Amino acid sequence: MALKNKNTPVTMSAGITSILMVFVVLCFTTFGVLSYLSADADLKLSKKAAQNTVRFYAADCLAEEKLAVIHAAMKEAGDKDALKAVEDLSKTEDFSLLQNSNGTYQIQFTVPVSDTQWLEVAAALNFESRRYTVKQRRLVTAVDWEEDEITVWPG
Amino acid sequence: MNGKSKAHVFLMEIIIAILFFSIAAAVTLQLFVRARQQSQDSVDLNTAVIKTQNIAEVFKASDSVGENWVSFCEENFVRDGEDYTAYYNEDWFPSKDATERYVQVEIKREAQTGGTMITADISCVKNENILYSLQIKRYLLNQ
Repeated sequence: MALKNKNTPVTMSAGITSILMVFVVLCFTTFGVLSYLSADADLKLSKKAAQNTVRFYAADCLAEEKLAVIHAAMKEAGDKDALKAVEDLSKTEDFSLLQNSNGTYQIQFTVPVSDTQWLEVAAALNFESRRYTVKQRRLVTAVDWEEDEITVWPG
Repeated sequence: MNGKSKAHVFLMEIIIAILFFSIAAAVTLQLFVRARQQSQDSVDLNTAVIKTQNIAEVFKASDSVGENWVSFCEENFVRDGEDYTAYYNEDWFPSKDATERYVQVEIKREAQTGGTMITADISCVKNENILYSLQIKRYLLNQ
């Protein structure tokens, strides 16, 4: 009986080693996979943000080029009517020329940033000095913000 | 005899367990190393975007000839003609010595009717690899 009791721990240890090993390997694998997935998701998010920034500045460059075209049209008009030159330009290019209530003119155009976003630029035109002043340069999103509806206990 | 046999089984089990554990540990370790690399890449990219965008906004706000741009460049860049370079250490803190991590700004001026189109190519480089680059344009009206 005494011998049997002495042998018991050996029998127990044999199983425990395997169980411990399986447990440790499972823990390692789980933590490894989780940290990899987390790092991968972070990198994907960073790349997406970086791409969005590139797209925004590309649209901004295009807006500057369009402003240069408008300015060139006013300058090239020479002694002729600069307003007429800009009106002609707005027919060929995607510009919209608006007259304000005080008689001043404003030109507006948009540059696409992505499928759902665009850059909206508006510039006030001064035909006497043949210069423009940028009045608005904003990023507009087509998709409306959807608020999460949280059910609150009314009490 | 029975006790010896059980001890043998125990030893065999430990040997197999250690063998299996080493293989599993090697695979998992690779996973950790990859995760760390991805994380480092993510940190580098985020930092590159922030540094590049920061310079881009200063450039746009100060139209590359104003006092703000000049003082910004004197504080942060080493100038070579129209090329500006800012060096950073391993933690992306500014460094006075030339390092493997740097941000380079190349400015080009193109005269147009009634104005000048100024283009800035900003690149963030780490170990000769371009992490991130942006092109900024600014149209300046002639006085």
